[in-house]
Amino acid sequence: MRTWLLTLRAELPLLRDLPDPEARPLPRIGVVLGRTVPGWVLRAATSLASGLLLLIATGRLAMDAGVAWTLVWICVAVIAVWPSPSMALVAVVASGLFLALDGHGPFDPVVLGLIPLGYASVRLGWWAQRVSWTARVEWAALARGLPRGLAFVGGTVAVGALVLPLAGQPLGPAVVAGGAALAVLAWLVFARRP
Amino acid sequence: MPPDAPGWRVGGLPEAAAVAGVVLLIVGLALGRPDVALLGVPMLLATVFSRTRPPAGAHAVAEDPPDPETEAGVASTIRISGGDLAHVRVSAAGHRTAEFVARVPPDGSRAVDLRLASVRTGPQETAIADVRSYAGEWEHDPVTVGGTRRLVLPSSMPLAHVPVPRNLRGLTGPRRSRRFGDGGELRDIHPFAPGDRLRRIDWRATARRSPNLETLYVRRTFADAEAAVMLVLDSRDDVGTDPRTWRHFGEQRVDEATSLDLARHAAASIARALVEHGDRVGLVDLALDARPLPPASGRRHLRRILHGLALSHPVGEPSARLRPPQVSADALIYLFSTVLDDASAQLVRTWRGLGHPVVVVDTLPDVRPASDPRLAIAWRIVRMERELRLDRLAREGVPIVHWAASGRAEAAAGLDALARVAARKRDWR
Repeated sequence: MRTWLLTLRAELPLLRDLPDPEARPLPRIGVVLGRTVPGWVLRAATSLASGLLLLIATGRLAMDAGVAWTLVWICVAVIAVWPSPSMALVAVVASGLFLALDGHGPFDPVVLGLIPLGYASVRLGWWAQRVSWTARVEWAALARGLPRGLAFVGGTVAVGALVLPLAGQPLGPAVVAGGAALAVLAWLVFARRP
Repeated sequence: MPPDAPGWRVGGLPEAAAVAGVVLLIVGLALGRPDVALLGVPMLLATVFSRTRPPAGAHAVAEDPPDPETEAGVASTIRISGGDLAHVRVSAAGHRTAEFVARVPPDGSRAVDLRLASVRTGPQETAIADVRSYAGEWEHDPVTVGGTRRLVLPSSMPLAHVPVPRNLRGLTGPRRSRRFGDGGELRDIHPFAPGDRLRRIDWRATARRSPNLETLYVRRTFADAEAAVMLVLDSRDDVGTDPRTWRHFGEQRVDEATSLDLARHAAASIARALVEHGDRVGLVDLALDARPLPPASGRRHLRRILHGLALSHPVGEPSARLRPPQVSADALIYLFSTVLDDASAQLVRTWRGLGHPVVVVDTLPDVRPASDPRLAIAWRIVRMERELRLDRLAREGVPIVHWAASGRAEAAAGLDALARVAARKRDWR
């Protein structure tokens, strides 16, 4: 029977060109690196972080559980297949909009947890977009932007913790300061572009 | 971008992150929700940071100056400086593509060692590395390095004794000739005869045998000599373990030695054993019509032979030679061949007819069974023809040594036994 099948495979051009199931994989190129993480772990991590972000945000909203889980699974699947920081940013913006629509204002303390989660999902999305499933990433390379990221996230969370008791009070100067900060940021980002 | 940072550009993250951060800030301010505004602040800060910190330092990617010749496989080192991350995609013929991201020290360079799994010898190429560097949010245009040619010389295994011709040549050398002459080994004590040198007179023996000095006695010694061996490399074809690749359909695996690799290894091992013993070794490449490398001794000559072995390769279709290559008189011939056609067997018979002893080293690798039924039948026929050829040669008294992976362990012992037999037999051909 096996011989008959092999003869059929050899005779039919369509089957002849199929990959040989008995073929051994090609050898690997030896590379000396430090401790590494496989690329699929980064892809899985960014999917999970973005999904968790959306799950928490939709949980604050009076949304039907089925719709919320559908959104989360779509987000996880899309980011797992096409990982990118842009997709993670969409999840962050969507989470922000869900927060804006929830009834826990004027300052929902859960945002203090969402800030590091959102930043981590964007950074992991940057990594997952650039490396393939089988790539290896050194731990030292992953830790490269960690102090800077911790400073950004830690500073933002600290500001949030300070703002939390003041939320809901009429603070006209704060709004003006926020607008000015927005203008300065816009100038830094867009006016100084190369 | 500053003018002193050529090749660097900002990656895609800052643009999108800035837009997301600004959207969240506007929504937060418009709805009076500072929590929403804060969610986008880290992204905005990252964007600002990336814009205000262009990468400093020169970016350079290079392959370390390679040693053009090596005996230890194909290895290379790439050195990366500039930036703080290096995203490298490494490719090489017959290998899976490797991809990795390595950390680059801020004020230094990172050296990454790459080693191919290839066991092939001869001209090879090092791995090709496409390197993209990152510095913060900045990316450098990809740089490609590697792919330089290396000549992988065949390695050798230690051999205790290898057969040498019974008829030795020359007036000096490490071996003992059968004729009288200048040498270190005593043959006999003989009465002085015309032609004997005076310094050869053994006065003790003369005093013992002829006290009246009627006859003078001289010490006669065996002459020193050296053996001449020709290595004949049948490089007309180069076949691997997979019969599907024998007619250049498909690629041979680089992690399995081909017949030519085995022949190079066997020839290098025998050449090294002979040269280290002080004998003379020559080389003939059957694929080329060039003049053979004449027998000589010494380490420089061994290097020349290794080069000749490494550079041998098939030229066109295997063809039979009309006339066997000329070899030195009294030389023993080692033929390294797969014996897949009649030409090699015919050469052996011709040389033996001319009085040269011949040792055939079978260099066909262990062939894997073919799954294709037609190929299996073809291989069965070829194998039976080959076995017939080898049996006929063995019946004619030609020693055959198998050098394939399964027979290599016994090859040294086989050559050793053959060397002892050759030393005993008077007419070993």
